[in-house]
Amino acid sequence: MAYLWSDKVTDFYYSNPELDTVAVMWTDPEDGLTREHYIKVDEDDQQWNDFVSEYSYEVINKRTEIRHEQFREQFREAFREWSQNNVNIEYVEKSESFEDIIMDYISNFDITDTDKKEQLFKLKLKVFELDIVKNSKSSDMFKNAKTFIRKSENPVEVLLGYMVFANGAELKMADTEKFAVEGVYIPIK
Amino acid sequence: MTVRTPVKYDGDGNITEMSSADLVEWYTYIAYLYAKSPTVTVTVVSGSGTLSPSGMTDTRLKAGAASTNASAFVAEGTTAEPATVTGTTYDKITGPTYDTSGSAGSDLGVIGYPLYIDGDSNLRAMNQADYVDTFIYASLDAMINGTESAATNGTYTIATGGSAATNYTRVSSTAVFIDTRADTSAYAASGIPETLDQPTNVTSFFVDRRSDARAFPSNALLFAESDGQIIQGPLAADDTTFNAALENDIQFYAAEDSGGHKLSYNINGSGNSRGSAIVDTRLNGAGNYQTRQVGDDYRSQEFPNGSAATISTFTFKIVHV
Repeated sequence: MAYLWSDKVTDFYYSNPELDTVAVMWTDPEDGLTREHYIKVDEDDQQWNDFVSEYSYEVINKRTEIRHEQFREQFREAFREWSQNNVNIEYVEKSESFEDIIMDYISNFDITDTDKKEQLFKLKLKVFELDIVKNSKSSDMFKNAKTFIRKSENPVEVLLGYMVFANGAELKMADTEKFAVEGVYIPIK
Repeated sequence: MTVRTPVKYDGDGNITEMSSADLVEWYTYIAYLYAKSPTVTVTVVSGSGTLSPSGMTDTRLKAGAASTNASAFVAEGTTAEPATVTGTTYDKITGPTYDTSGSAGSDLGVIGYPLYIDGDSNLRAMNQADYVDTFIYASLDAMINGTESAATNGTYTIATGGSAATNYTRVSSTAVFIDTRADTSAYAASGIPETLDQPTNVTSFFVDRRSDARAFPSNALLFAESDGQIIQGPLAADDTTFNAALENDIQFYAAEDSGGHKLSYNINGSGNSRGSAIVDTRLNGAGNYQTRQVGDDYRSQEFPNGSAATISTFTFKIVHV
């Protein structure tokens, strides 16, 4: 395996909420500069498969979460600094109930909304971090479910993918395209 | 048509089949012969490239317009939000361009092709079809491998380095895509009203071609002579009859094969990715609200902020057609 990034990787993370592209930071020994290299998540692509064989999906998820936490901490720090120097903040109780929030998130999900997209991203990462998903056996069924979750465009799809691990649900794969899902069978227990 | 395993002399008086490592050395040498004059090329042009898909556009955030008020700062909710700038659309990659001026080599006959061991343990000379399968098609298969090496010599990749890496040649110093983002360090509250669009170049993407130096295989092929003797083929020469046939045929079949081994390139199509995917990234924040008071002039403005998120991904791929 020989890629420009081979043996020179300093960091890597999903670079978008769709989880379909990974940014790989590598340091060039010739000039000492760290450069970005991008790989599309594509299970048919050799470069992607070689990357994942070296850095598993779980490790990529972990690195992504760490990076997000770093950004959140930077934001919190900036906010603390700003609030100390500027205004008194009044906290207002949110009037929305838990069930309202859940239903709004599910039924009014808008993939074009930046905040919602970010929430979906976090939901996917959360699901990938669950032991039942993280420690699932290596099989086509679970591999397809993970791909389905990664490609999900709304929270319902993410939860349907999660049910493959948690509830014995089965994805019905479409014949038309690799990893395309036609439907989900959920057994009643 | 069958892939054969050529034989070699092992130095201990034995004739043995070549190992897979031996064959990789031959594929690497054949790739070098191809790279001497590639017949499937990708070029960088100033515009109207034939390979770049539509929509290879660089985007970034710019600051929202500044607000002013004579008695109080305009609230965050009313101050204009950062907006997306649609920058340059890149259409600079053309190809694949095929040089179809060549023709397949003529049949070299029974003494022209290497020996192999057949199912009855007899030494037998390959025929021309065997030779094409064993050397030319196998080399073309190695050349579309996702992992770049000397065996992919003469093929193209996308690089982000400031100069071509070792064993690569930069096709053009013109970047085929430049990803820009808002330069958050350029915006300051003391500068309100700030210039709305203050970009910085984040990553430039270039087309490079693999260009390894020649490395002759360690082990020679064996050939039959007309009097029934067996000889070792020469190694350190490109212009022997057999090596010249390899050079002619790898260049011909790469550009003109009709059996599914012609080299091709695409973006976001099928095949193996080469080098870095080309990405358009953009900061994803909702705006960094800042204020500035100059006498009775209360100014506010929202600057670009957030972390970089990939908006579009374009993957350069190599494939057989």
